[in-house]
Amino acid sequence: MDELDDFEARLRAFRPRRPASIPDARLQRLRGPIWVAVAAGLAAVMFVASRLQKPAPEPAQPLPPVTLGALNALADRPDALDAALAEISRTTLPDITRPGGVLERLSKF
Amino acid sequence: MTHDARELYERHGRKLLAYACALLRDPSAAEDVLHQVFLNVLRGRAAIDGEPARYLFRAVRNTALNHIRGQSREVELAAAGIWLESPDGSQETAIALQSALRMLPDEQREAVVLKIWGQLTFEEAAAVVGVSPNTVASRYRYGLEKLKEIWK
Repeated sequence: MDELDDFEARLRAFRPRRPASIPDARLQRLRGPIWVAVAAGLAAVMFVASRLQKPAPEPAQPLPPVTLGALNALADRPDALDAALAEISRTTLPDITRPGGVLERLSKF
Repeated sequence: MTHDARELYERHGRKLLAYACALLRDPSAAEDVLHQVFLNVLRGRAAIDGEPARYLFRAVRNTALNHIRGQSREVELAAAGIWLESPDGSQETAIALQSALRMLPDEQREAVVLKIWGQLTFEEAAAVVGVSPNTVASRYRYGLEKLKEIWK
């Protein structure tokens, strides 16, 4: 039995070698789906954020110059003149009917 | 690698590699099996319940046996890889011991490696292999005697 014990001790003096590290390529494959998920998450957040942003107000279109001559030319066509004046007043005069506007304020006096 | 997996790899890597080499007789394939087991740990697929060493030895065994079953033909596996380090640093001595180990019957070699280099008790080794502690002890003693005969 002692002989076997000695032999056992002799064997124990040998040491298994240290295994190599897991190759990066295999670890990378493991990380891949996580990074894909993170990227997809970021893309989704950016998409939602862009949808929630209010659209920028469109720049006001410059009005065509209103000239007396132009109005005179429409004088013989009342409908066209009315339409032109309505359009001009819509774009140039303040909206007095909007909430908090002049009409509302005056109605409180 | 997460801290836990890294720590397990540091603590048990050598023993597990020795065990995988005993099963596969091919250090390169053994290392591959070991990596596969730890990648499963990292993926969170490993259901480690209780002592991690017991789980890891069993996982190495199952993965190695699957690897063997996956071989399409009987291969006399490479003897080139060295997985034992001799105390005097001699590669010849290490290769001679490895060759002697390869000549043992699979079950005896498994028992010897689990006990000597896996540092498991007979009870622990029995749980890994799935037999009774007495059976492992018997395989171990026969294996040790035979190894002593072969490797003088």
